[in-house]
Amino acid sequence: MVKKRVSDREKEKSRIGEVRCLNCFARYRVPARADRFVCPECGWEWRVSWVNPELAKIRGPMWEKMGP
Amino acid sequence: MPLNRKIGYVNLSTGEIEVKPIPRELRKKFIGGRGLDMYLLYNHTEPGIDALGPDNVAIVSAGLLSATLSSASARTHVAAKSPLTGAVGSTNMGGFFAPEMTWAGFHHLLLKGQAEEPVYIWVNDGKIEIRDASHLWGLSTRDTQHALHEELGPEVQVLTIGPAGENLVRYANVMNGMKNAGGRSGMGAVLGSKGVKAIAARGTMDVEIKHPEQALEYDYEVIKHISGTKFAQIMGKYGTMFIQSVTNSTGLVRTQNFQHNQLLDAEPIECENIEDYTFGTVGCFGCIIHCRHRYMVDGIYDEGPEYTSQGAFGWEVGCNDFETVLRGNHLVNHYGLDILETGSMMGWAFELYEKGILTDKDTGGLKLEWGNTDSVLELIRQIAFREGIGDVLAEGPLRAAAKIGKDSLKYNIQVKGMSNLHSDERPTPALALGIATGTRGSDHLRSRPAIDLYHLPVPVLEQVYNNPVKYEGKFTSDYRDYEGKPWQVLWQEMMYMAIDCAGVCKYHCVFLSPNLMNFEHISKFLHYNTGLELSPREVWDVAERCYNIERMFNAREGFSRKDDTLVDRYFDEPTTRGLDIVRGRTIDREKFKGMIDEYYELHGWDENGLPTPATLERLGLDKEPSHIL
Repeated sequence: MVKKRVSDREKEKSRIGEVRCLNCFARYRVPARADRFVCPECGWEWRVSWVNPELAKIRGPMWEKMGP
Repeated sequence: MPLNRKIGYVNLSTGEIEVKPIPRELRKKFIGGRGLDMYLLYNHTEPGIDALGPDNVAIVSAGLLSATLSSASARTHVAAKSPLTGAVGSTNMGGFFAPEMTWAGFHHLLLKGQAEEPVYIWVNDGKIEIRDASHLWGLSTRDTQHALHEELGPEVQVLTIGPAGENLVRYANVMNGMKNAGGRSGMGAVLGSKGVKAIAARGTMDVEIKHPEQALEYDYEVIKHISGTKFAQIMGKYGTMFIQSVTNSTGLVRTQNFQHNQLLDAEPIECENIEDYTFGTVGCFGCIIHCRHRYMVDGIYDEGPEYTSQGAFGWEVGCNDFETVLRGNHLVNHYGLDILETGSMMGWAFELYEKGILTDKDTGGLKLEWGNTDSVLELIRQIAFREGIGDVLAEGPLRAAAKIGKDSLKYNIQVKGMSNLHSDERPTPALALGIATGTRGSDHLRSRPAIDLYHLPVPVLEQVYNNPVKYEGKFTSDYRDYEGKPWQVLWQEMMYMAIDCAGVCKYHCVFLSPNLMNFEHISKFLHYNTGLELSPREVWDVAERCYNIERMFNAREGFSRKDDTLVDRYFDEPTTRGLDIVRGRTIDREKFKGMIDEYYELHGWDENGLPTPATLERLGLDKEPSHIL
């Protein structure tokens, strides 16, 4: 496993609620309990689900915007 | 001590049984589990034998850390020459069987010959018996286990085949519990060909831990770390189904055989839907993650489903119905079929039907139309019982294509005669290289650098992939690149081999997360639990030795560079769906060739993909077969 320094652990804590955009790979924070989010970097919109109150994950795209 | 567990040889033709200790020198060279199985397979078979004949062997094993104070040391491994591919047959499963076999005094069982009537093997506290199984023949995997629990007691653990194994479906699995399946490469068919319905184990022989306090402390430290990772939390809630959130959303799943790379409008089969069917999650022996749900559909319990279930009965056959995923998952477990191969063969048959290569006359009127859930479920049954078109599909990709004829083979998505996972590797050269070079055929569990999909920063990749052996080239974060990928594939081969020798679950090592166990952890777990002293670099060396003996087995069967490739569709048909970053992608033939060249060079293999004499000498394999065991 990758060894973490204290500063890394602090950084990781601050990443609670963060997800990674699958389109541009930018990390961003999802507002608590939000079920949708628009990536501030690339503008792609994602549906979001919550593994627990602190851990969000991308659920899927907005299918109507995915194109054929 | 784990090191005093023995090997039992069972000759099914003569009824002879022999028990031997496992020499320490072989432990140092192969550790146990998959690694030692591969030594045994190479030493106990001759080239060119019939995989379903008496000369093949079936080897069942526990890893060296089985039933120790190492978490998730539950894995059972089964090896033989594969009846599907003719190459290395090898499958690895969770559950509770391996620890029970360890408590019964054994780490390896080697079955040879063929029984005249159905039998089961009873392993109990240092003894092995061959027993009549005529009353079990024909039962499902679950009913067989119930019957043996009635006969031998509820504590007994059973490894069994279902009707598919009895019917010699070339991708029949072996099962323990509701869903612990050794699916790949047809090990259930090998047991079926030997007349072995099941192996039952029960043991009360303690496993003495070498340094118990340190072992416990170290395991606690590792558990604490793993359970705190995002990966473990997500996995513990959704199981492997969570992978679909990334891959299908991006456009990395093999859809309708290989026509697309994304199932559109896939919300109905997303992992979150399990919440309407689940009674909670369960785990294997000694595992903290609990990666599968116990669910009910149609009044029947089962466990899972897996990412592979979503692929097999979802995007592969164009179904967007979660209950079909749940029902299909149950049926393959019930009949004892490999879920991946079953789904792939069905996706292929559906495409052949669409193209008119298969017609109603061939299918007996079964409409193999995308999204036809009734046909999906009926076809699973027909494959298991070799009825109608199912009898053809039961033969696996190459033999079925030969029977169907026309140009059916070109639509089949396989490597070395084993179907690809329901993923689409056209945008991901590293993953494509991994499936092309796998020793048991197309393989996502023996070399896949899955973390390549996470776009990790280069320093993180360096930290992971430069230990315990440094790579001299460069890594790239972009999964669409070709640079550095051969090393990542090789590194993962070593990682997965090492964890398979130890008998620990892959979800605890660097597979789906960079933050999990690596060679250093295996080294320490071996030291604390068994007293076997191997540095991280020496664990790597063992893995490399074991991987090369798999390659030697295949070379002996005629496999070489010509077999380390992908079907033409990877090179010729661009992806059609998904995010812009993955649309229009193919694998570049020249760059792929370059990756193969580098991969062989890194391995110390010649341009034909065969280990050189110098490599064999370096690894101590130049005297094989040595017949020490």
